[in-house]
Amino acid sequence: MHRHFEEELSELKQKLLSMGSLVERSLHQSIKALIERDAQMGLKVFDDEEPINRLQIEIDDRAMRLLALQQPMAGDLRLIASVVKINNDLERIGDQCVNITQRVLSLMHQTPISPLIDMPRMAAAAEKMLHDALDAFVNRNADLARTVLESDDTVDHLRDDIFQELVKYMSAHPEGVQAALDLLLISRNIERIADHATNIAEDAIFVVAGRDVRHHMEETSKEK
Amino acid sequence: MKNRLFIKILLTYLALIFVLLGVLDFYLTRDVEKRQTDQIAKGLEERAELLALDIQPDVPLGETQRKVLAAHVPANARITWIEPHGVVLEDTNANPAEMENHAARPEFIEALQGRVGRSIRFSHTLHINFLYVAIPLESDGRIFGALRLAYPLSDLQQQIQVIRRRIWISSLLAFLLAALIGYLLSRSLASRIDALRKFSESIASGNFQQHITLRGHDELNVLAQSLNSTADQLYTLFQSLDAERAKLSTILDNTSEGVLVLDRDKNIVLTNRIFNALFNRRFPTAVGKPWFEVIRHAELQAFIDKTFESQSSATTSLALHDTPERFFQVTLVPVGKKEGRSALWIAVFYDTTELERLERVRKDFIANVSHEMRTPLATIQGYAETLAEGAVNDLERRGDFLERIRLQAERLGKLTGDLLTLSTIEAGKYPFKKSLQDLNRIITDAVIAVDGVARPSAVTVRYQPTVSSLPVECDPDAIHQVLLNLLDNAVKFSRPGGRIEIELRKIDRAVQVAVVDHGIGIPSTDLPRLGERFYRVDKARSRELGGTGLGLAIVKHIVEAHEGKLNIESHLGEGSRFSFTLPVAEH
Repeated sequence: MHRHFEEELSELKQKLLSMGSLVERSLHQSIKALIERDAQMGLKVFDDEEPINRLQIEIDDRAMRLLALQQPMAGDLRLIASVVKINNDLERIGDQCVNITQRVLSLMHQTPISPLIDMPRMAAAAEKMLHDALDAFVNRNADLARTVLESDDTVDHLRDDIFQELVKYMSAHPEGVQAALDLLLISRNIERIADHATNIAEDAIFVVAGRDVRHHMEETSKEK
Repeated sequence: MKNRLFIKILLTYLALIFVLLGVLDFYLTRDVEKRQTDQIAKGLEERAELLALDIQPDVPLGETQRKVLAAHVPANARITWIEPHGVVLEDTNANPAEMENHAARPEFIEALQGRVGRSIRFSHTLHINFLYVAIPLESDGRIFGALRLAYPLSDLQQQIQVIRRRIWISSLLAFLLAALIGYLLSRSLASRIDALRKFSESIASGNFQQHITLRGHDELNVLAQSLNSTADQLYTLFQSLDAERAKLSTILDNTSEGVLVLDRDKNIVLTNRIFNALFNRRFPTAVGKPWFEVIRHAELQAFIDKTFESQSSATTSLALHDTPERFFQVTLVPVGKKEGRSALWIAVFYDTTELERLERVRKDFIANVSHEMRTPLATIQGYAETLAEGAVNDLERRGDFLERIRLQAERLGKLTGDLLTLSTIEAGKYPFKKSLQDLNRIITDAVIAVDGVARPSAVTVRYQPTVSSLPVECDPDAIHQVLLNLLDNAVKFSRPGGRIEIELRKIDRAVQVAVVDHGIGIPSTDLPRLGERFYRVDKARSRELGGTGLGLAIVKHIVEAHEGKLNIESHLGEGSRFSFTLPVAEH
């Protein structure tokens, strides 16, 4: 019976990581479509949406079944709860990738704003955050997860810089407003992705340390 | 551990001593008692025989006789004359008239039958054991009574008590001695056993490079010796295993392919350095983990799943989401088939990034050449057709059309010339005429030559020679071409009124020439592809400025043909630095 539970838990983790791989690929492809103005690459992102959604439902089902039938305790319970939350975050990242791709396809019809300013850097940072957050979860490494939390600020700063630059660009080039707006939306999408990656990192810490670090709970509890 | 052994030894000694003591006590006291009793009985018997001589039947003893009798018996002994019916006739200690009949006493019955009777009984009157010896009194073959001597055995019992006490005391001493010896023995035994235990534990933990030496020459030493030789054998065995493993892992780590071995449950059994660099950069080892924890790559996961299902080897190509992107050909092979399932799967990752790049360069090249040629050809064709259709008679515009055709033909000529130069250099067939040249002079010439291009946009080129002459072994025309191309590029990148500097630096046995501009700069994503033929950062702008898209490619090839290296650094909006090295001529 217990062995069965272990197997099911391992399968659940495997499904989640498959989902993670798919979402990582989606993110990579949507960014690549943006940087290389590659519509073909963008279409691949749309192809991944369906399997990601299916996996999300399957993971939720499996997690609920485990919770209901096995009534896991302590560490296992934390793990399953985190899987459910990470699953949700991953699906949302997938949605953001689709949004980015839609903007990218819209950008294709406009004269390129050259160069893309800090967009590739910001995208690379978000990609790394997602990758590291999943790595931290898989390897139960709270230190790595904390570096993800820290890099969220970098992404936020980059977004602010991009915002400033694009506003300046729009006032100087009224004909490029549509393209600049698309880029602005993309930078927001990337920022959201970074936020979801941060959530995943927080869940990773929760699994390892059993501590809730959301909304800076860790710092306030330290002060007490 | 030590104490337990000591207690065991002590208890054994104690038990031994107690058993010995019991046996000793039992036999010794009984023996002593019997011997002594016999001796006393014999003495009493002899006395009785002597006394019996004086006794006549039916003659009561006189006063003197009584005194003689009393004098002849040992102290505490009592003499009793009993007539055949058990009536006491004489007694040295009591009045015979008051004494009960003695007919039932066993020694008396014995004596009446003509034998010496003996008995030990407890006297209730005196509370001590008495030894009774009775002899028959005979006269002319007729037994007329018995003479009985009684002797208290209190002395004997005292003697036995003394013996017993001695036995106990000496046993106690023996016990104390045994305890001491046992303690010392157990201590040395325990310490030696402890040494053996520690030694075997350290062998178990993998430390084979030590030996144990024990005091003494007993079985423990034999054990120690065999442990030593076991350690030696294990050490050599492990050494050779280690060497073998090190050899294998060195080979594995230094192959250019990534290697991953999975077991039948897709758990990771082995990885090499290249694989770890691809998938497991951050954590010490991937071995023992389930595959899905390490390989988080959608295509690769799907590939592995499918191949495991089919149970036969397969190959796929995939891209790794890295910056820059890398391409791999992955082959997954099952090995050691058992019961229809393979025990192990070996995946080999072959890096095809360079192949992919070359393939792309080749495709791009063909597309670019066609594209570059099509535009001027279309122009030429267009104007030629216009002329043919009658414009040849339009004196006013004829010259303009012809000039355009000439310009485009010239551009085509330049393009084909550049391509030819490039391919001959690439093929290693370009006739470089290398000789000892002064680099200073070549640079100065190039600066003068580029002046015509720089002047219209008010760009200034600055070069201040730091040394009077700098001998370099090179083809002066080729290096002139390199400098011209770089300076031409720098002028194109510069903003009007900009500044270009040429820097000269000596690095080890090479001299580095750098052309530095403060223009618009190049995006970092474009830098790696700059040396490719027809690669343009800003396609529209470059063609407008009359470039063929081959300039940097030619520069790169000439520099490499001179055993030098082209290096490009650039910051967007701040400018670029194109530098190349040339080996300094030996003096």
